[in-house]
Amino acid sequence: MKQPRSPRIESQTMDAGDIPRISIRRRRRLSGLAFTAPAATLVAVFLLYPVVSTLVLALFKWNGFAPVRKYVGIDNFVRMAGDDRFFRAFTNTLIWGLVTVPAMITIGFVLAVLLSQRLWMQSVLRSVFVLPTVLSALVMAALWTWIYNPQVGALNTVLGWFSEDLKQVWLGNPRLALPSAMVASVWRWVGLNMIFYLAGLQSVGQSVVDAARIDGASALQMATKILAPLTLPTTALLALLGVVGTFRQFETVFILTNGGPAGTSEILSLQIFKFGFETGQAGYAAAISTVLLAVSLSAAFLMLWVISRANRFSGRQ
Amino acid sequence: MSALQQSEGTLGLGRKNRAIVSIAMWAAALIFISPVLILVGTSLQPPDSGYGLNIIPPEITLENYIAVLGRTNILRLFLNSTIVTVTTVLVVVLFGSLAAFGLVRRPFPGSFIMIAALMIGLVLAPAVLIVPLFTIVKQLRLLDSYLGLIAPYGALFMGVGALLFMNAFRSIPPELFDAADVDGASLMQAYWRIGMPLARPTVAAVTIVTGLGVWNEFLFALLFTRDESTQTIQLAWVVYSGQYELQFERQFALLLLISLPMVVFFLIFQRQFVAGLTGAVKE
Repeated sequence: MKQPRSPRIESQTMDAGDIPRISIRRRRRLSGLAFTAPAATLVAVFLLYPVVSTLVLALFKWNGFAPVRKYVGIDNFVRMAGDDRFFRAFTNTLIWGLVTVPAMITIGFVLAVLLSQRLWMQSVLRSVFVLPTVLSALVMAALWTWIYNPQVGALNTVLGWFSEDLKQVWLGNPRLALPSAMVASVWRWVGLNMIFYLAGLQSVGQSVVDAARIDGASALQMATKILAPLTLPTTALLALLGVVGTFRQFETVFILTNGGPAGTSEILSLQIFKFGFETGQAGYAAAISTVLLAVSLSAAFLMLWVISRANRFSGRQ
Repeated sequence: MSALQQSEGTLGLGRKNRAIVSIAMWAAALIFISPVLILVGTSLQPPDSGYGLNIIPPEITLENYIAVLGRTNILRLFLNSTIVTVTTVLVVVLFGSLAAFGLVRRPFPGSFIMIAALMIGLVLAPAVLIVPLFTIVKQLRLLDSYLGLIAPYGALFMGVGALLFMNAFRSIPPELFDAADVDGASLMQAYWRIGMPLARPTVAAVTIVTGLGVWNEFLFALLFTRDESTQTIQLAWVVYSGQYELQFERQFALLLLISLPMVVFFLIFQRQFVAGLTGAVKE
């Protein structure tokens, strides 16, 4: 192992051919920095600087492209506090999270449990359920726009076989627009939840299952009392992903409803887009972005804390 | 398949029950995938014929695909997406692994600030960034350019890459590196000869997560590109669907063309996809 040599010793034994070198230890530290430099630069310019900019911009009034901005302090936030439209978007975003995340987790769990029996052509079944996850949010949203179409859409057509009264104007009804979008989103994500649970179920010990069967557990009891608790870490992880995903939603609502009708299905990300790029209120958009940032980070850290507790509970880590 | 699945499965159902569940699951799967079946089926029927949405078209024709391929520039958009995705993946894998290696093997004071910054990228909603990021991209004259997408995407996905590689490098036994140190290897040599070869599964995972994410991305592409020369494939919908108005058959052909590459990739590399997605996010 090379010994770190101090520069002083080097210069003491210097002769005409020697070049003074920095210590090995300093060089090592610098190379560590050099290795992280490219990534750090990219992240600093295109991620960190925009985050800081957003926080600063929230204190200004700006139309998005004029070279002049007007400092207005916390006016944007004051406006937000009294803005019904903001509160609706905020509530919609919360509803989205509180409904879609448990839904996709539960359905994903059920599918995974059923698929981990030896069924016919299991791997094909698995691919079928995962396929929507590979589709982009855009393709999914565009597809479902037509499924929800009141005249020719598949949903109303099928419902029409039973009764004309079941048909709805899904995306045009203020009370159905957001739920319709949420259904499409859950459809897209259950496959991913399912494969996470499939992986988690594989690590459930055979002995546990055998013991439960010997004790006469029914299938339902097995699923709820044994498999569910044992896959708690997976559940916690999926909850984190779901929550993070909720705040990232954009395409689904943008394409399906564009926040309509009359802003009833607007979510925060869409609202930021509209204020920032459609009505030239960049400062206000930045203020909303600040709120979104705060809420999403808090939710994410909360879920991370839940995950560490869940891991401890099930005996891992 | 684990031993568990090779036996009778986790619920211990008998043969008869398993048959019932199989049938039920297949029925559920068909209903579940019916939107996609409708997409395919309807795209093969002629438009303006009074046919509704169908899984099995009353008449079969390829005219929708011919129309979309022939009269739009969708192939150019496909090329743009390919260039942007491949480059971003390379950037994330390279920069991410280098940074991870530096952080693991040569931690410096303040490393954890860097790690925190990377983690923010993992949980951040891109909508938060769009207002200032647009200005930054504009000021750097990167609007309507490949770099104008590659750079933000790279920054966004860097967290995933770096964190996954950090986990991979941390699990390499230090003795291997000590041996290299004895032989006088530089950090770069240790990275190339020891670190990266052992992190091959991670390269695959990062590639899949980043590739899928970039290819499917919509918001940044919508805002930062205005011109067919740089717009990516997801924008094909926004750009071209308007001209087809109520001809949903044409629109479905367009959608299928947009999603075909990723779906084909998925069907071929299924196992890697699943492994990459689950393995990646488990960290």
